[in-house]
Amino acid sequence: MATLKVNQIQDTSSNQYGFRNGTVIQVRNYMYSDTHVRSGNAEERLPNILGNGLAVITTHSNKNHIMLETTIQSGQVNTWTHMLYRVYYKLGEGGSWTQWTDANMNSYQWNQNYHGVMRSTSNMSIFDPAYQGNIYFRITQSGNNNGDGLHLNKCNSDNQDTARNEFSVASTMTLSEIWQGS
Amino acid sequence: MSTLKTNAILRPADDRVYFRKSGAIVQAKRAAYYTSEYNNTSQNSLYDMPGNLGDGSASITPYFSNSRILFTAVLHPGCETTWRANFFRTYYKIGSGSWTQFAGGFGSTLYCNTDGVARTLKSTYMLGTLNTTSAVYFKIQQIGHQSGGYLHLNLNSTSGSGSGNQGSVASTIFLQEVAQ
Repeated sequence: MATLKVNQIQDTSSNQYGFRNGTVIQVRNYMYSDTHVRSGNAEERLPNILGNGLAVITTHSNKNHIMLETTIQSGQVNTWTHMLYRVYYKLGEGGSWTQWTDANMNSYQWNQNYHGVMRSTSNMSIFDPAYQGNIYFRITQSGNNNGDGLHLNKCNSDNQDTARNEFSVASTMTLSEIWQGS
Repeated sequence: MSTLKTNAILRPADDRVYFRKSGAIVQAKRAAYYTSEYNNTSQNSLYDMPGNLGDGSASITPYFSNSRILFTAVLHPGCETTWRANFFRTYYKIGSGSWTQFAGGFGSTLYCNTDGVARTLKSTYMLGTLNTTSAVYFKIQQIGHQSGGYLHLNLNSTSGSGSGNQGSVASTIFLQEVAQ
């Protein structure tokens, strides 16, 4: 294997490129496409990889930052639903779960007398974990006291209250590592 | 110091690209950040957004003059019964220049019979090449519908409360430099 070590890379017009502060150097994506329905207002983890704490990115330096983009496909049935999603991370397998409030988000829909409708909701956030190694993430959901609860990835065009993902949507977490030299 | 000049780096076995400048995100940053609950009852009047969402301090300094800037806004508008409709305009200026509106505007409409519901809103727009390596500043302005235009930024509650930021959510501007 050939390895070339240099201190700087320039394009042929002598502009520097290569890793500089802010460069995205890796992307990891996690998704869940089954339907998942929950009622009540207790805080619960999202299903499978979105909530089991195994979504991970491995940073190459304790100076690098993490960017998270989350998309939740929030379905509903008559009449309305409001959900609060909280994001947690832990540093290393033995770390403690810590809420990352900047990444928290809300979804809300109202559509009286109809079922199967859905809205995509996304968020984005960047933070400095000051850690090199595996960083794990998970998301929880809490329903409104009076809303209809979670209908994750549930959508159809024929007005049915059924656990069906007719349009093959996926709720996702996309993690990026952002290089920082100092 | 060693300096290598190239426009792409390829893997020798199969010429797959290891690194290429064009299209790469060479810089990503959180440029503005606001977590307080903010209420504006002005309805059909145009206002700068609170904090550094609207004070013009959000900025990015491109590494390359021909780069494009990917602008992303994340806002958390809340709703109190019965409905709220808000529109957001986006502007940039280069250095000490004048504010220029660009087509990154977006809108939010919520209809509810319970206070405190909220929806996270994310909107992205890719600006063209700005031909500068000076700091480029951004701001957002908001105007409400004349009949339902109160803005309840970062207000969210799962228990019907008309005040408070239960999820500690943050309304934010992200700026990314996309090399050409």
